[in-house]
Amino acid sequence: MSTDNSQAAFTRRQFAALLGITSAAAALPWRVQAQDGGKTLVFALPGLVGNFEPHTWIGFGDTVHVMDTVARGLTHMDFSDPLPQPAIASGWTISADGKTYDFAIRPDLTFHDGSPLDAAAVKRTFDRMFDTTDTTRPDASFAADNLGGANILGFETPDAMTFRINLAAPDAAILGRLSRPDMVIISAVALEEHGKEIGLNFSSCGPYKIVSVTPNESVVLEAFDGFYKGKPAVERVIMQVIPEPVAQMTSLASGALNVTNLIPHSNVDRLQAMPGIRIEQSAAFISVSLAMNCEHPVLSDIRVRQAISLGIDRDAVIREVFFGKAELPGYITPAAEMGYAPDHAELSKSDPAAARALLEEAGATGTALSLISENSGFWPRLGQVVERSLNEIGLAVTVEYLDGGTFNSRLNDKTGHELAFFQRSAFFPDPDGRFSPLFHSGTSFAQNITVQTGLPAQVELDALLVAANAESDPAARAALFAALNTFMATQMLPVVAVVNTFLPVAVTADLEGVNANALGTYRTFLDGARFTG
Amino acid sequence: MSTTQSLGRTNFRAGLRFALQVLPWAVVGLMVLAAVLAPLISPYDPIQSVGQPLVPLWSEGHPLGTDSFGRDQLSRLLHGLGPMMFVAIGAVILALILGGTVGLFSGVTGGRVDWLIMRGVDILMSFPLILAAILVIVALGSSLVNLMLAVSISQIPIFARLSRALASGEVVRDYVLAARATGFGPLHIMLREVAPNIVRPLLVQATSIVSVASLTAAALSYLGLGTRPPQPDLGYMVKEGQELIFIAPEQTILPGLVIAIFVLAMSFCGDQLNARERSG
Repeated sequence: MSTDNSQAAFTRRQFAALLGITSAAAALPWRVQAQDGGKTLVFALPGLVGNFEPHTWIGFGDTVHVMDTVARGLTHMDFSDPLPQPAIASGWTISADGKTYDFAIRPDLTFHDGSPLDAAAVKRTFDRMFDTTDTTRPDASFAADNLGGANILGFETPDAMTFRINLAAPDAAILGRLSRPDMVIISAVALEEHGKEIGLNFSSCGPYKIVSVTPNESVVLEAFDGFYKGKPAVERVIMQVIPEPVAQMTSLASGALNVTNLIPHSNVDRLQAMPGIRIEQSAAFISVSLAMNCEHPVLSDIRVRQAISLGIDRDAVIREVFFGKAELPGYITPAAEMGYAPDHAELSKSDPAAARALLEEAGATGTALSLISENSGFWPRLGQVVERSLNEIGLAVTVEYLDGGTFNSRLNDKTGHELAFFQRSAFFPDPDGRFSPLFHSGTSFAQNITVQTGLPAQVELDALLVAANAESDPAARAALFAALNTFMATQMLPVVAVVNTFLPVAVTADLEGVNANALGTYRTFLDGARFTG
Repeated sequence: MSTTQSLGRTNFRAGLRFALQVLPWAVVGLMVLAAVLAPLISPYDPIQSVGQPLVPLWSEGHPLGTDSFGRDQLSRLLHGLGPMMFVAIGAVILALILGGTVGLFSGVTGGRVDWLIMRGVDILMSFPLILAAILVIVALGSSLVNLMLAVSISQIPIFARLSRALASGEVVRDYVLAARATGFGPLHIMLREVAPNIVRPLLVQATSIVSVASLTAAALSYLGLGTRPPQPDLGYMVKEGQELIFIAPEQTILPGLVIAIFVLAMSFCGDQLNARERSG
């Protein structure tokens, strides 16, 4: 057998050299990108499917980041103002009975593909949402329900630049809903050309337009000079898939990444101390809650539900799960939103002694309950804290950690869960965003998740929701929703408010104008961003 | 160099070689002992918060610090050893019995039956090991026993192929032919003639496979398919500590190190047994 190694094809020294050269070459494009004079903003995405169909959007994921950056709706809510602002519509009038909304479309606007943006084009988008015979409509769409469902009677164009929505009953929340990611205006020409494939060929009227999409990798966007607010300061945006938080932090530190809202709460203080990185302050718009199956023989007793609310150690949750980056809740409406009142803090206080007493009174001490949780993100940590605190008050809670698919399947099956975690973020900061879509008796949430439709107070709740949404005066509306919080917490309590939190937003120090409040609740408005120096 | 110096150097080298040979066994033995005695030697209850969160290493009362819930890290590592070893060793034993039996039957029977069985094993082997284990866990639920089952399924083909190869080599030997000529049936030949002669190499292979099974078990635990928190689980502790790597790197490094040491030590033990087996 020959032992002559001089003929070896590849020595260890050569391998090491190749590895070093390859690593350096791989790192080079990022540094070049970050040093192009600040014309490119790199934003981290958790993943990228690459299909931006707005009418099948159901929440979170890559779609909302891209949609917010390339599209706009009739109204816009940027989280600095509790009231909807004009966007594609320069303004609107509401009829005296509150059932007719006329939107004035801004003149001389075009879509990214150059086609005119007029009332007919706007109507085309909404017709697609509601007309089930429309061949361009995707097979599974919840957009119509998200706008108002059966309360929407139809759409008209009284003139070339006026778009009209007719309602069956007044609904003051519709203006806020028109700012949702699934309410954006799609190019009518693109719709006719691509039909159901519009998600792969998306064209709208937002501050940026899509240049290229590489699934699982990146989306490249360039500034649109036809945007109604003017061309954004940053010329190019790259939305880059960097799913791992650790990789995002190293990318931020190296300058390869400029903005991310996917940093774990545990790393906020560490990042803050790093030079060249800034943590933007966000309001706590994300509600972390516990849904209770009100049809369960034990949970049907409101005293048990109250005991669960009193028994959760919220201070431990803030400290051990969110590392201080969360706040005590009121009830449904967080402090940052219209409809919150200072006395709401009493609605979700922690009092283990009172919890034990209530359980004893209800004869529920020692009851075994299962709590389902997702097994990713902060949920496992939350599960451990909540399990511990509920067991300390005398319940026997067991947390099941499930993958996302199994979790959602069991969450939406009223026989599949007893207790379940969920979170609600403010896709638009209107108080009704957290009420009607969840707690009205006609919703899937009320029927299958909290199973609350049989509770005695449900009928009154439905009436209060309708009344609150019929009120167009903001101050009066805020008071009605504040009262709704108290009513639900004291008369029904189908969910327990655990804490309110936000997504920490980290940016490189050379970037200004990032909308942290929006990013802190999954929305992505980058049109105000600009590089300094 | 003088004869004394030369002899001294030879003795030193011999001593070093001996120590290196004994070291992996000592490490494994120590870790098994620690796992068995964990309830007695752990300073704290591994699932109770007993201190401030993220207390650093070498702190008073907590030599390995605490995790983000204030639980003693040393206690959690000691209690986490047991599940990993239970799953790894149990999975290998199960795979050895099932795979070994299938391979033995296939190798002794031969012909079409052998061909069919081995194609089945090939199909099982071509399935990604982690994916197969995940499917089992998702179907049966998350528990130590199911985790052991899932890991064993991924190792069965290895033992089946080895057992079949060994058995195929034995059936053509004189003692088997003599047994057949004497009138003994296939079952007797399988269990009384061939099996005793292939057990030793299978056991040697099993020792090496324990390291692979440990890694698979840790990987599945990392994915959240192992024991349910707050029970200590080394793979899951690596995952929990991952997001803290910039502020408390020991949270992820320590459980990872324990896994690595066990896997490495078992691997060296297996190599030694293999070498001894090959040299006869």
